[in-house]
Amino acid sequence: MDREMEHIILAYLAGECTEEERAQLEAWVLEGEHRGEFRGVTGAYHLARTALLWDRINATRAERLLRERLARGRRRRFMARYSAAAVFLLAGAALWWYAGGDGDDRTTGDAMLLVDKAIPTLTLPDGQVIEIDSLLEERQLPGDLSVTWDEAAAIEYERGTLAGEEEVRHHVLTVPKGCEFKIVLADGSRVWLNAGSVLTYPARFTAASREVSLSGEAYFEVAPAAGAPFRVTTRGMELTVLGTSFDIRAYPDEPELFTALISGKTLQRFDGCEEEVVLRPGEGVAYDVQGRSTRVVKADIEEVLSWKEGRIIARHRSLEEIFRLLNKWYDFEVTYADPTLKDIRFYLNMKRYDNVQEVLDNLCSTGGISFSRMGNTIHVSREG
Amino acid sequence: MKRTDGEILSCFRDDRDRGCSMLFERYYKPLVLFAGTLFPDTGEAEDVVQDVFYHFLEKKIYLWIEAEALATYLFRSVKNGAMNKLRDGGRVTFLPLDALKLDVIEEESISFDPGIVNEIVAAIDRLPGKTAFVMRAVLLDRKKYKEVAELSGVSLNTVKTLLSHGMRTLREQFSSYRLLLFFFVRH
Repeated sequence: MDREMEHIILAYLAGECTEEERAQLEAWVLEGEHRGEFRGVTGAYHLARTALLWDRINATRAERLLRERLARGRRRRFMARYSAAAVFLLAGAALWWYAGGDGDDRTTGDAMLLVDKAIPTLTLPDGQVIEIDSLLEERQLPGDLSVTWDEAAAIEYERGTLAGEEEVRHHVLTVPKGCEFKIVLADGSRVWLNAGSVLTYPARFTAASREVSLSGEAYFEVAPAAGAPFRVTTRGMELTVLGTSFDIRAYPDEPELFTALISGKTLQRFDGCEEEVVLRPGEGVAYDVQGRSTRVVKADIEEVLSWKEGRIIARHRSLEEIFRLLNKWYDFEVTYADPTLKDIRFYLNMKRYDNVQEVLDNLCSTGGISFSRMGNTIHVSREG
Repeated sequence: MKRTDGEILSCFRDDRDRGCSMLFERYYKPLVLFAGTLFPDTGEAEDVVQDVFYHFLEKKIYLWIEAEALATYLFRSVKNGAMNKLRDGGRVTFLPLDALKLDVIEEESISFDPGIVNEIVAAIDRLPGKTAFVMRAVLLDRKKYKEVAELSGVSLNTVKTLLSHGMRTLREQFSSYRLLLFFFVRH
C-alpha cells in the first residue's frame, strides 16, 4: 500500500487529518475500491488501541453502578404500586425499606441493598414469562387455567387431573433471591419456595403420577392421592412419597443437599448410591454431591423451617454457611482476611427482615471477629 | 474464558445476577472501546453502554432475544445511543467513511479475544523505544501528533512514520491471529 495513503488512514483514525486529506481518502477507499486496505489498517489500529486500554476500563465498578440503578428503579415502581395496598408479596423488601427510611438515619446509599429483582415469575409452556404481580391484575392465566391469588403471596391452581389423552403442560415458577413464595398445585399439594429457587411442575397432573422438579429450597405438604405417588427430582436425587411433609434444600451453588422429614414417610434415591434412604419424621438426610455419599441425621426442624417463618436460625453453623444464607436475601459480597475465618461457628436466631447491620453486630458481639463494610462488600477480620 | 452468547442468555434465564456479571465480563469493555471511538473521552462512552445495559436488564430483553442476535443488538444499540448523544450535542458530522470505519470496528470488537491483550501490549513494548512511545501516546493517551512530536523531540513527519511503522509491525505479527479469527467467524 502507498505509504502516503497509510499515513492518511492513520491520521484519519487518530482524528488528525485535514478536510482535503479526508476527501482524498474517501475517494480512494470508496471509489477506488480500496476497502480491503482500509479495513486492514482500521482493524489493526482498533485491536492495538483495545489492548492498550483494556485494563483501564473498570467493568466491576460499572456493574455495581448498574445494579444500584436497577435497584432504585425497582424500588420506586414497587413503592408506587404497593404502598397503599398494605404490603403482602415481598413484604420483607418493603418493610426493610420503610424501616431504613423512618427508623434510623442511615441513608439508603449506606444501607445494605436487598437484592433488586424480588419478583417471582411464571414461565408457561410456550416460553412466555409472567411476572407474578401482574397476575394480581389479570387473575387469569393464558389458556384455560384459572388461578387464585391470596394475600399471603401465593397462587393456587384450580383442582383437577388430566383426562387420558391430554398432554402434560409444565409451568416453571422462579422465585428469585430476596423473596419467597407459596403455591398450591392442582392436586392440592402446597409448596413453599425459599429465595433463589425454581420449581417445575405440570399445570395439571395425570391420575397416575405426580412429578415435579426443584432447584433451591422448598417445603412440601403433599396432599394424599390414592395410586399417584408424588415425586420430586433435584440435582442428584429423587424422592417419592404418598402424602407427607418435608423440606428439600438443593441449591446448585451448595456442596450438600439436605432433606428433612416433618411427617409421613419418604423414599429417596441418590445418584451414585445403591441404597435407598427411608426417613422417619424428625430425621434428615445430607447428600454430598461431589462425594456421592449420604448421611442420616436428626434434623433440627425449627432451624430447617425457619425460612418459612420469616426467620433465620442457624445453630452451630460456619460463618461461610451463614453468609450464604444471608446472601439469598441481601446483596453483598464477602471477603475474608484469613480463610480460616470462614469456619468459625456461630449461633444465630433473628427475623429475616432485620437490618443486616444488626446481624453483623450480633455476630461481632459473639466475639472473635470484626466486620468492616465498603459499599456492598463486607470484609471479615479477626478482632483486635 | 470467552463465553458464548447462548451461555450468557441461558444463564440470564436461570439467575439474572450471574447473567448480568457474564454480560459485563464479555461485552462491557469491547462496547466501551467501540463507542470510545466516537467520543473524545471514555467517560461518555461508558455512559452510553451503561444506558444500553440498563435497558437490556430493565426491559428483560434477555428473555426473548436470540443468541445469534445478541452481539449485533448490543453494538447497534450502543451505536444508536452514541449517535443520539452526539446529535443532541450538535457534534455530529457523519460521513460515508465513518460508517465503514464503525462497521470494521464493530466486527473487530465482537470477535476480540481478551486472551490476546497481553501479547499485543508486549509486542508494542518490544518495538523500538520511540515507536512504542508514539504508539502509546497516540492510541492510548490520544495526544495530538504535534504534542507527541514535542514530547519525543522528533519532527511531525517522523511521528507519522513511526506510527505507521509500528502499526505495520503489529499487523505482520498478528496476521496469523487475524486469520485465525477469520477462520472462527466463518466456521
